[in-house]
Amino acid sequence: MVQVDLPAAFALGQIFAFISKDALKKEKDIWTNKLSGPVALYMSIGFSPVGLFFLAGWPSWELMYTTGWMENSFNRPMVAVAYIGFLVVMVLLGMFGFMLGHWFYRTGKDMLVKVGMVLGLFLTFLPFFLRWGVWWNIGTYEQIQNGTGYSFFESPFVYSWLFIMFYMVISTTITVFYIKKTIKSNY
Amino acid sequence: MFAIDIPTAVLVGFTIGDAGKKQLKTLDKDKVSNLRKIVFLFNIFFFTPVPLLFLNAWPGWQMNYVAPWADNLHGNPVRGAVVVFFFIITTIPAWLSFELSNWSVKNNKELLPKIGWIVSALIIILVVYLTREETFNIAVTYTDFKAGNVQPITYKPFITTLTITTIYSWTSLGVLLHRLNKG
Repeated sequence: MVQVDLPAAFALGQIFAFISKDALKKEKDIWTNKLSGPVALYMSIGFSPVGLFFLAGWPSWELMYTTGWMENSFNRPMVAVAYIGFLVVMVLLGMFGFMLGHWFYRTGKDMLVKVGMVLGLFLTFLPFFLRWGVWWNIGTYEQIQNGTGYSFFESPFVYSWLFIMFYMVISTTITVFYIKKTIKSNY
Repeated sequence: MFAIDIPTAVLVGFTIGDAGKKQLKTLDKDKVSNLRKIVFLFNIFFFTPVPLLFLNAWPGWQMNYVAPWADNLHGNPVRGAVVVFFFIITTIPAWLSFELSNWSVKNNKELLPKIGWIVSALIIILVVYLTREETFNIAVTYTDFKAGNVQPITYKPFITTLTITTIYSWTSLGVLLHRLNKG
């Protein structure tokens, strides 16, 4: 969900900074440090495709049924640009979170990384409370407004959700292990 | 269009490898790793968004009018997965051609990246020529194309989008290559 994925991207960037604390303290350059490569790769092909997958498959669900504007992108380049914008902003926020964490560590403001993580996670979960239960209904914007649609647990949505979440968990785990390995062998 | 997206991604990887030869020659792990990161980020921000945009707005045209399923991209996980797949297949070839450039520079085959991007450019031109019927006749969907419901390439908003995205991608690549050449 867009409202969830964007703060989650920032929170993940901060979490990656947090688990790399000692290494980042030794890295001088925010732009060229060795760990930003795996983080950029993860944000690009591990995390962002998940949001893109849902946006392509169930656009109004991904937008928590706040609008049906993104349902038809045919011959409407501005809608297509919004898809791409979502993807690019997710990567940017993840990288920003990580680089900000690095900068905090470099300038001795260690506590702010924890604050950023907590704030990012709070903003990630906030939309779930503000629009409680909206995710259990799958359909177009119009179907949901009319009280139709189908359940989260019905095919094909539930299998797609499980598949893409599995992909995200695996790619996140691999990235964490890779970062840990890089830290161990380089610092 | 799908048929030229992969050779274009390959071209991007080779051009970055060619322009970054100085950095690759140093064999410095950090410099190579930084260049690799540039390949990924350049793709994500400046190249991959373009085919994705066309896949969403003009799916029939983007798929060279060979994929009827692209007419309906929503409400189906397979089609959602195709969008993600598209995203990945326009990133991986760039990375692979960059790695090939890295390998060739390390093994004193410095001409290979240059040959690689020249061949990629020729393939792109050839594919556009061979598919000129599909390339220059624009229909939103496969069904529209088969029904003969096509527009010339100059129709709006298609031409505006094509112009903006072309300038966006190729100018960005030009700026990046210029900076890499300067070292």
